[in-house]
Amino acid sequence: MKKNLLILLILAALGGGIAGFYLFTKQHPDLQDQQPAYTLDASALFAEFEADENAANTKYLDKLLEVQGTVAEVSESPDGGITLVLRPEDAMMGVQCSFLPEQSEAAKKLSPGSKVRVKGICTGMLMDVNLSRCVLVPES
Amino acid sequence: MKKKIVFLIVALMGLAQVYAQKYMTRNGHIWFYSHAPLEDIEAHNNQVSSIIDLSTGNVAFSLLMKAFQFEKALMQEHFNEKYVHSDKFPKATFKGKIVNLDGIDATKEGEYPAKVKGELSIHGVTKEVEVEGKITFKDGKMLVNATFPVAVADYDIKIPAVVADNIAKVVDVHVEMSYDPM
Repeated sequence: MKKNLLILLILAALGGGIAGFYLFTKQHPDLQDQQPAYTLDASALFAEFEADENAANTKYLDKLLEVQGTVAEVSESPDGGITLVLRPEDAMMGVQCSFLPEQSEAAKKLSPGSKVRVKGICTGMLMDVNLSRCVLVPES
Repeated sequence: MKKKIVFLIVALMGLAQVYAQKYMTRNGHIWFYSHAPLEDIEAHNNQVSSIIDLSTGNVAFSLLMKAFQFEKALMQEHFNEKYVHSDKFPKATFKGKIVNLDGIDATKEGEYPAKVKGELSIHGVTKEVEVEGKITFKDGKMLVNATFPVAVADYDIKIPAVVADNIAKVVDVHVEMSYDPM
């Protein structure tokens, strides 16, 4: 009886250890395979943040968003990551999509005027609404 | 007479071009590095917005805390939820002035030492800081590089004793920016 209890305890400890190790080493999920929480136009997303930043934060922060829009700027951050700004031609601000350096290959080839779909995690609004860890969504 | 006026206008516009002294970026790179006995942690943010006005020396930086990217998902979660509470304090900002503006000449390519004094706000706490770095003018761009220490306790960021050996009490903040003239 005591022996059984001991084995149970050891198993429980092992299980806990494995779960802990799994959590500790958990990588960021690959966004390419994830379903977005919201899909919308870049300009609609910006308009929502501009109208009420707090409400938009509550709705979108940390969520995976898929936005579509026209590329206005393609630039490289000093760390090698590509930044796309999606906004209509006559607007000052829009949605800034930031790609990690290792995810930037495809985004680097885009030029202003191209229409794109981008998935990324919403991190809030500075001048533009910012999306992080972005990936390009292939046109189906 | 007309010709003279036109010449004057063109000359003035030329001057305005040369002395266009406002620089801006929306994708600067700021990262921090925490060195502790048990592990080294770094996080990168490449969505930093900043404006520098060389005619007044005014400097402004702002970034979203949630845009810091960590290698491990769990670390990023803990950073945002337990340490810097980014739902409540989404932004970190710096507003200040270049102290040695006289020594910086935007019309000549090259590297200039720069000293900036101002207020750094993180986690709802604002502190006076002084940072030394360098400004480089090259190919029409202005580059800014600086490194400075931030003591996490100064900004009321509490690190529980259990992870005291995993997280440094003073982290090094690295600033690497590339500005375009406005």
